[in-house]
Amino acid sequence: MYLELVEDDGDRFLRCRECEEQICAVDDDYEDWRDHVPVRESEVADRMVDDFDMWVKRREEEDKAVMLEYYCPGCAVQLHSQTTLDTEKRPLQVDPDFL
Amino acid sequence: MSLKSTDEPSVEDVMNNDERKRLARAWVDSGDFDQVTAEVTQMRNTNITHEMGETLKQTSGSPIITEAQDFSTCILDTDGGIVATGAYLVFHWGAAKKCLEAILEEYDEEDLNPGDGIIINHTNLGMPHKQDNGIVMPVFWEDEIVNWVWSASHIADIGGVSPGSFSPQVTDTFGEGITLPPTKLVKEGVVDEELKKVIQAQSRVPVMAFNDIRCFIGANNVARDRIHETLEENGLVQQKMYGEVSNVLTERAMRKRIEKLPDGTYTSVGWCENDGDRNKTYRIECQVIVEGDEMTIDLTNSDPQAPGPINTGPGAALGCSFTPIMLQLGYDLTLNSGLTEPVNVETREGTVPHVDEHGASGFGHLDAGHELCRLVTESLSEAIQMSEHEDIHDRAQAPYADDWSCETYAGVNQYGDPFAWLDMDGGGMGNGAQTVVDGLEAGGLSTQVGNRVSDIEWKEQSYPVIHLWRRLKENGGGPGKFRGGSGLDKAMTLWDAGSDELVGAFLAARFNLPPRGYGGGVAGSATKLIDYEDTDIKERWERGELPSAPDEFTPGSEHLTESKEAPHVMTDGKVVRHVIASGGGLGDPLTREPRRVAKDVSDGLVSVKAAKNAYGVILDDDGNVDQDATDARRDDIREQRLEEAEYPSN
Repeated sequence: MYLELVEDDGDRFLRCRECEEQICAVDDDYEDWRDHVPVRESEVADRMVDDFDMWVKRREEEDKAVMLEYYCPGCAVQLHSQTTLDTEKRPLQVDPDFL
Repeated sequence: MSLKSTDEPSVEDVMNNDERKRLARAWVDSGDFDQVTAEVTQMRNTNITHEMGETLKQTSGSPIITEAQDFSTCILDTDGGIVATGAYLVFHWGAAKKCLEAILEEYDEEDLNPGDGIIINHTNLGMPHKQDNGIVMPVFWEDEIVNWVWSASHIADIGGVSPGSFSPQVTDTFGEGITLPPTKLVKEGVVDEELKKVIQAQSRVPVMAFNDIRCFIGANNVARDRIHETLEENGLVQQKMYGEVSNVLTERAMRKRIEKLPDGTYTSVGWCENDGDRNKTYRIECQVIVEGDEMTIDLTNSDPQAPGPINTGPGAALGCSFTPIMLQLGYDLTLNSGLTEPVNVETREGTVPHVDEHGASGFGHLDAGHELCRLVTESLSEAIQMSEHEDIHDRAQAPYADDWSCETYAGVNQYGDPFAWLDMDGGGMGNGAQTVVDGLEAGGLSTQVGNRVSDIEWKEQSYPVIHLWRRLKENGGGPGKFRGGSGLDKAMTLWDAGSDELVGAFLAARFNLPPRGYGGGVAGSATKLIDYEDTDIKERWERGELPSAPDEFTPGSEHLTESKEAPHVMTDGKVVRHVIASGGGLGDPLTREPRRVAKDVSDGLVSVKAAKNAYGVILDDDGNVDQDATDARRDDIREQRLEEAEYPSN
């Protein structure tokens, strides 16, 4: 929602819609943007129960439930908040043909 | 009405499915048809399915039908295409299509007569789970089958090891109750009494169970009569051709919307947790592949099926995968087979999204099935957001909570009669936030848009329980610019029971992995069931107190259940609190208008702590927004975010 694909002199890059911070160049892997922004990783229960006063049961098994919060390095808007298992950090992959 | 087209087909043409489709496309291409007749024909068919629904509600004795509207009605074509559906259980269109295919494999037309009715509940052949039973009947006109009609619903108990037939402890389908492959239960209008005895012998509530089956037959008979009236009025050629024209119009509209999505592959991965056997995770990979005006949902790269009953059958996989597409892209289009024509769903037998013949699946469509809904919503929202057509950007949304958590009980009621009961409040979950509005607070499953929670007075009149509270829960909905729907928080205890205890089961899908948010929005909160044992609730009542919150009574002990638990028992003095899952938020919570947060706090939906930590909103002593403090708090959170986060390369 907060990222847009911008083209400038044949170069394509992703930028933040909120502050126009340039995040990264885009070639053929759209998901690369996640390597170029700060991310906060925490256990889902720590974040939701302790910080947000919400409920989720802590996962005690080996495959921990984690929350990954990605922020724009320019304005700190939350680009993405992902709940997943720590064994699979990118459960959402986008591979559009136009890249 | 009359056919406007100059190219008038024959009866043979319209009874040939391929030829009828070809002619309908030609009519639409040329514009040589009457648009009003097409619309009237479609609406008339749809109204027949609504009348079927009313018949079910007026003739069933089960609250699952009369109160919760947990049923489906359809008119189908002879090739399994949906002519019209009542849109109560939307995803049942997949079951109806798959089950009719199984019936057509089993019976030739010469084996069938007017008034025949075929019962089916087989998961591997199309039904979502065995509690869902359907009666499918051919509609004859001049000695030929011209349509099929379908009525189906969840039956309160069809046997198995747990009351209500939700059995988390099973490791195959044989403990989940009777399996009914396509079986002719009604022969030329007469119920087979021998088969009826067999079916009733499996159920803990035999009279209610078979009364439901009779009401399916009744609804189908109503549909048959209405179809006959329509055919008498309009003729077979007009009725079939204009039904097909409506399919073509819907299909073309749907294709135009899919065409607005960028071609590509959008992959979302999720997990089912706890199959009842152990708290292992089962991975589901959902690829949404967009190519031109067609879309494929590929689920074949998912984990092998689980031992426990969380696997879904192919009919539910079809219906659950398609539902978000309908809600996000086809929201205003007619529900007929044209809507589904451009979408293909691929599954592999023996996996979590496609259970084999003997695999357990009693909770499957509510577990793996609705994980599919969440995953398709997530992938589709990405495709929608990447579209260059801004007019569809609003259709992105956070996933629904889609965790229908089941509480079942059996025992003896206040009238001395044995009962088995599925409390339909489990459907009171929050929905995902959308781009312009918060999620519905207790909107139910995405696939079951006609469902309702039951009236409390009616529940207490029918079953030996009394409610302490039922309300929207605090801090449920995922924080976001638009907040996820809250979901329900309710508690009840035993009251005037004819037995010392009620025994049942509890099953929920989401305890560890909450429903995700979207676009910077945070996940919604998960489901939980808490048993407060040996409370002083009766003493408090005697003192005139009416506890309506956990801190208003004293328990001897407190037990948070597992997400799958059986037996789950309600005893005298125990309070069972069921907190139902919430929808994910959409957008960064720091961009939510502070006045909306203040209202959420005032409404009891967000705590002061969550307003401060999740939304960065500070309220004054009167509950009004302190704008300066809020601005400062939000600046602090932004600063804190960048301080506490790290670049992956670090």
